[in-house]
Amino acid sequence: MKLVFDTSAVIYLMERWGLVDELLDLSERHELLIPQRVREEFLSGDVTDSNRADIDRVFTLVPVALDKSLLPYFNFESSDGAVWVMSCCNGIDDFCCVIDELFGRNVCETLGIRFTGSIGVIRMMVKEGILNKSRIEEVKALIKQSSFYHKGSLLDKIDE
Amino acid sequence: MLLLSLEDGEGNKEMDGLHIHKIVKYYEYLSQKSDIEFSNYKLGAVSYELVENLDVLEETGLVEESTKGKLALSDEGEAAAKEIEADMRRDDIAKLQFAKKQLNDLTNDELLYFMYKLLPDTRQNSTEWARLSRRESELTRNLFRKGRISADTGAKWLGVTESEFVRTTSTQN
Repeated sequence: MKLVFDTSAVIYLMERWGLVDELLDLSERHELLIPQRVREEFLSGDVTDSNRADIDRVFTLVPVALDKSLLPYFNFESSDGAVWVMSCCNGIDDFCCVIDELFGRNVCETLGIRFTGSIGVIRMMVKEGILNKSRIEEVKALIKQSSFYHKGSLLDKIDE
Repeated sequence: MLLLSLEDGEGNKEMDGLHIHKIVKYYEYLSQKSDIEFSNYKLGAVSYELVENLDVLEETGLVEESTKGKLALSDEGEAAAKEIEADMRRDDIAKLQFAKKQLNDLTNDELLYFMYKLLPDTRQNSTEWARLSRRESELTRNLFRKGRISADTGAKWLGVTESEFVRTTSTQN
């Protein structure tokens, strides 16, 4: 499967929760992609040199043609990374957006664009044996400590 | 009429007058259409044409008042709405559905604030904008948490960077 990541998911999975090695493992089984806009958004934040190196190690840059039919939902602006992520995935079966922001997920749902979130990616890692039990508990603790907005029930089911 | 046949994010179909006006206006914004005439009045963009249309639908029994004082389709109205839907483009139905899901269950203040920020021209004769603008931080963050605006939009509305907006808004459930 081809997973196309929005900026928030990159920040939390790679930077805040330190899942670089696990993402590299995952990238051997699935393509982990980011549009140029997401890369720019990530690098414009407060990132370390290590993060700068990691984003290019973990993710493959995917060229994207902006799907203009999505622009109305984003106030006719293309500055949001999510519109580029959705442009990549819209109408293509094997592609899946990785979007955490509720607004973006609402747009995906309206338009029938396949999506998951950071916790969905972690669940993939669990299912594919990339995360062991002790590491799962570490990650759960990190998620709870972070400012990541999530439903508590989703976190409890992470290793189901 | 099709609007009344669609469910909002809470699974409800019924709508009050204010939400009908705003959602139709939002749908026209999404579609870049101006089929219905709106004027900027005390509560922002409202349409006398819409009021007249709704009166006719009530008189003909296609729309009725629900127990909560809101408007809902009668059984005949639901059947008529299905016929209308069959003739509409999928893209237009998606935009109408999105508009209702995004706005119908907002409080009046959240709804007015959303529309005033999206369409600044509609503040022209507003009696509410000054009051709402004093609550802009709270209202913007509420709309973000409810998934009605993105962090990119929220940051622009408050004049901060996106990372600062997210950092000061995200909460755990």
